[in-house]
Amino acid sequence: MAKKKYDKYIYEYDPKMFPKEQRPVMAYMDNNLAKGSNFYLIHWIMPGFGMQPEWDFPYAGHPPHIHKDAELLFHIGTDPNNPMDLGAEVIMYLGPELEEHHITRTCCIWIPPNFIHSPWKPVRCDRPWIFMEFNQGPVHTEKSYRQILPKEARARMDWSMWPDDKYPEIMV
Amino acid sequence: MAYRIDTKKCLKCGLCVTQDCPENAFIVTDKVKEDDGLILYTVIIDENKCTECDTCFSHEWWCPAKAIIKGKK
Repeated sequence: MAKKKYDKYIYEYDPKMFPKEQRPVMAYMDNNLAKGSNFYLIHWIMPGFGMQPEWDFPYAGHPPHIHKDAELLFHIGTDPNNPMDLGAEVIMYLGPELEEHHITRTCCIWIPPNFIHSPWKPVRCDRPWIFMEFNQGPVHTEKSYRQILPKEARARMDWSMWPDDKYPEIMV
Repeated sequence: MAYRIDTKKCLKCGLCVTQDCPENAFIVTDKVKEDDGLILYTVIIDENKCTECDTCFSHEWWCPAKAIIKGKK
């Protein structure tokens, strides 16, 4: 098929971009791919995701962190007859106080810049649903706040999986 | 009205040092690496540098722990 002038504006996720990615990603965009784009990541959450044995303890999940830019975390149910039902349950902690929330409805969680959020962990999944992470900045950033976790939870996580991203070491 | 860091609230993340204080008044006085690799920073606001411009205090998300407080010790 002949190339068209605006083919360059249509992006399909290429799994070769992130060989270690295990989530079923459907779409990814950032400023490195398309100049001027913010960071977006969209993937399925399948039954069993987040419920692996190594995450079977209190405060397991994607650990507490911040981003430089605001973030929107869309949790989208996929039942066309009941689209506001997530068909799943996610535990999400918000703030340095680790305020606990149970997400069971289609919704968007607004995360202001530098707002501590997570652990985030699916605890039930009746059917696949869609998770969308939109950042209001050009690329992904992340800084860990694992110091707010109880010692027991902190000791059980594999921290090599959760490096800081684009935050410089602070010089003394 | 001086500004200082509430040591009970401070999470020692050091983020305040990397923010754009016009006077670079946030000073790291100690740095400790924990067993799991996390680095914790003890930070003070240098009262000789701070001009009480209110930039840090009025910025809602300057400090994720909201540990910057206004007032004398």
